[in-house]
Amino acid sequence: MSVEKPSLANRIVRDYIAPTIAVIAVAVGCLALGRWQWDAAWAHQGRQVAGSSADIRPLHDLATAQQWLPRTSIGARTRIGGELLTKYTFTTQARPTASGQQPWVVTPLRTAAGDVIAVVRGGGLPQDGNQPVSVVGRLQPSEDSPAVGAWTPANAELSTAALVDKWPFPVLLDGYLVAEQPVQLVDASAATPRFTAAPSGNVSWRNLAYAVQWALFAVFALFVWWRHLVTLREGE
Amino acid sequence: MGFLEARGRQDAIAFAQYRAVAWTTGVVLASMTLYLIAVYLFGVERSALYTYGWQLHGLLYIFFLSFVARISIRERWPMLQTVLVALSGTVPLWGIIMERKLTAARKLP
Repeated sequence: MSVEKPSLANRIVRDYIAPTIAVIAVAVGCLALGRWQWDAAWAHQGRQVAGSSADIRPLHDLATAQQWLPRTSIGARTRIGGELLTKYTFTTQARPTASGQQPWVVTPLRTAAGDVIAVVRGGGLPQDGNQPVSVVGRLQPSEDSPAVGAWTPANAELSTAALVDKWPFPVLLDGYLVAEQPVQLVDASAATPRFTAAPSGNVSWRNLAYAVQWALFAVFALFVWWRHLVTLREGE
Repeated sequence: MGFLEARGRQDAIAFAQYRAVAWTTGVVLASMTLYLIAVYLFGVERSALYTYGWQLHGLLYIFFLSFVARISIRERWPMLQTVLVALSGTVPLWGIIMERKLTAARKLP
């Protein structure tokens, strides 16, 4: 029984076109993931941006679902209506408020569209049940998860990535809203959260390392492709 | 020492280096996978070791890839073999199994 040799066209597709398409797809995918990590590394920097504007702008003008909060939207004022899912409230470690260092009370707010946003809404524990509210506040980017160990509400950082694990529903924004006035307080002496500019210049080295790693993976994909071409040439 | 003999010696050294990195990466990956299962299935607390262990694997994997690239040039591996060996460093135990197979293949006459 004779084995038919593949035609020239088939060999070109098999040896050159298919591997080239595969390598380009892998390299582009790696570079896209690297770019994503690169953006994440710098996303937490410069929280003062846009913080001085007093205009209340619609949320959909400022942010896109499941994306990094754009740097131009950091500190922007917006109004979000919906209901507070008080059952999932937690408090952080002491952080800056208008009344000095106090724990932040964080509650998820579900909009009419069903999106959920973390709201830093002032001190005081909430009443039971979901409560309709309209909150005016300023947007802040998510902070890093702790470098070591698991995140718990006792951590000072407010990390959206950690909230995704903690809450049984997806979180719309990679950021949170700091309410200008306390929302649904039962304790009148509770602190009002105050918009405070976090120290700028804190690049996430972890994300930066991931970005470099993805770039190296893209280089490796190109290396494999180059080796393939050399092997083919040696075979001919 | 003749050229071929020197070349063979360098190949052997490169392969030994690949084996060392493959085992180190494989052992760290297998250990961290067990830790991950313990954390998510049995509620074991995540310590600093958990974070640093995964970061160590990420670093080792870059070294692993560089050794795979080097040996694939020296031994003229085909594209598929290079890709499979490279990916073996990301799947628990596969990297070690792959190393055993490659070592056994080299010992064949």
